[in-house]
Amino acid sequence: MSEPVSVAAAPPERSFLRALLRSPKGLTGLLMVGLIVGCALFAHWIAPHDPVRQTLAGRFLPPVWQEGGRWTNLLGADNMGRDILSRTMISAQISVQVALIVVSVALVVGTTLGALAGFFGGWVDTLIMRAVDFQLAFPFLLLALIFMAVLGPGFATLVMALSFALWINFARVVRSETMRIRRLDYIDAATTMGVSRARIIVTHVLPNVLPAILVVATLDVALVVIAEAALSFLGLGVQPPTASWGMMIADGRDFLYDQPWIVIAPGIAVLITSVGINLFGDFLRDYFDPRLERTRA
Amino acid sequence: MSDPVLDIADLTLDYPGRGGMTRAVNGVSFALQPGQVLGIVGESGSGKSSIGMAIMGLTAASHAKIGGRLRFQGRDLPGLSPREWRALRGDRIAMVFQDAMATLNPVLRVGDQIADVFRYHRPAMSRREIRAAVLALLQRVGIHEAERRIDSYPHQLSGGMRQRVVIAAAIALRPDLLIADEPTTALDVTVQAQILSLMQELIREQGTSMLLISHDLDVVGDVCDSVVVMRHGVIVEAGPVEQVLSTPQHPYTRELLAARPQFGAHHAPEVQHG
Repeated sequence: MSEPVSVAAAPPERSFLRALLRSPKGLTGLLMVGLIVGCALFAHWIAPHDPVRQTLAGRFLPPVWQEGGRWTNLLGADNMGRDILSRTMISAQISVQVALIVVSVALVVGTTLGALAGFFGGWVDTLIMRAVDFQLAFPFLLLALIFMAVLGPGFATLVMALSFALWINFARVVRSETMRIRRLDYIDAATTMGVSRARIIVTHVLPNVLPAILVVATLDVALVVIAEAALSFLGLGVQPPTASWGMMIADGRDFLYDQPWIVIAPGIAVLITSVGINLFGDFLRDYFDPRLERTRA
Repeated sequence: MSDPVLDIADLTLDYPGRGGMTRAVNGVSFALQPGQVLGIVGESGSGKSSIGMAIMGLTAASHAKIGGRLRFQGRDLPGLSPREWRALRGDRIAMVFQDAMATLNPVLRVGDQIADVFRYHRPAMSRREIRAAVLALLQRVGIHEAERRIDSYPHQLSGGMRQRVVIAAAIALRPDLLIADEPTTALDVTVQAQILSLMQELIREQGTSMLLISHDLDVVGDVCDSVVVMRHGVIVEAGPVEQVLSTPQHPYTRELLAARPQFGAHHAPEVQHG
């Protein structure tokens, strides 16, 4: 006569906001993410300089706290005299854009395929999961390289390559959750009420999978930001003059020993983003997982 | 006598498993007349629930094979198309499961879950009509403050209230056949009695026939007109409920009756959940 443990989804009375305010982890994460998103949204207004303007006199300008630094360029300037603070801020736009688009595409595709595989099983499941296995066995960089070689580097290619790599994360999680949920009594009950299978998936299965999807989505945003930086570092991502953290690091690596500040600022930006998102994702997972709460109580 | 609502003859049910098929139901025959209540009694694994699942068409998911005759109002159930199944389920045949908490979707409001039945089977009804109908149903099954409860989530209701909600959804369209699979097993003894009398009242009111699957001979004795005793997938004894319970012919039925908690046993301490 025990209550089933499998009742997922947080009870609605538990206030999300209150839980967030009580969690140092979630709050820190949100703050860090907020900083980056704020930079991305307002870069055009708050950036002190034009991020692509080059000044000969400002080449290799050190940050303000080092000897020779100037208050006009807080974080110094790079090998072409471009202001590093402004470039780091404007780069957040690319990262946020790529992350949002890629994760949305991967979420929709992965969730749909995962739900189909998990709900129907049989050959549908086999077909989709073999595609996932194939993808898993394929090195991501090689895949990205193929995309670049065929389509040419650029923003659209970057988004496609990353989406193509990430949908499997959603598909796997949604499939296993769907397989668990479809065996529960309320799915049988809905069936006995005459509800069609398509509607059972949409109204009964997906809302119960949503917490898991949200957690995967946040963690995948961090993955995308890092992957975008990596690809741009290799020259496979966005192309100049658009600034991106990975590209800034690539530009600065020749001067790593004498002018390390060129690389440090975008590096820290990547770090803040991925740590912030991971902290926030961890908080979300704790919030949505009723079993964790039980052990805490 | 009129045509039976449910006509089962020589029914077999095989589940695929490791090393071939496992026979869960082996040559079961019985008929259920309109307005009658038939009880199926047996221990766990006797195949009693499988019969309910087969009538509801829920065995397809586990790739079970159905043999023999399984007719509802003269229509051969295993031969129905998925579309015909959907039209029948929830409208003419409805089911009440054992665990109401598991039967209700935790993330949907209870009112919406009952409304599902109307949405599928009465597409002409407007939102407002459906809400009014759901409200009337909740009141009918004895839920206080139905206006408030209609927007509650399952975990906000007590076990008895949840089972009332499940019953409301089952009887919403006045089905001809109600299958109740251990409808009161998960409830407190006091609530059990209330739910049972509610179900009796409703099926009498609507002229619904009921197939009551239970391991509890007291419940069956209270509610049913006739009873079928099952063991290991076969019927060991069948007949009118008074006859079977007062003068059991088969030793297994006698064993079941003897294993029943005697008077006073109900007062033994029991773990109770609100």
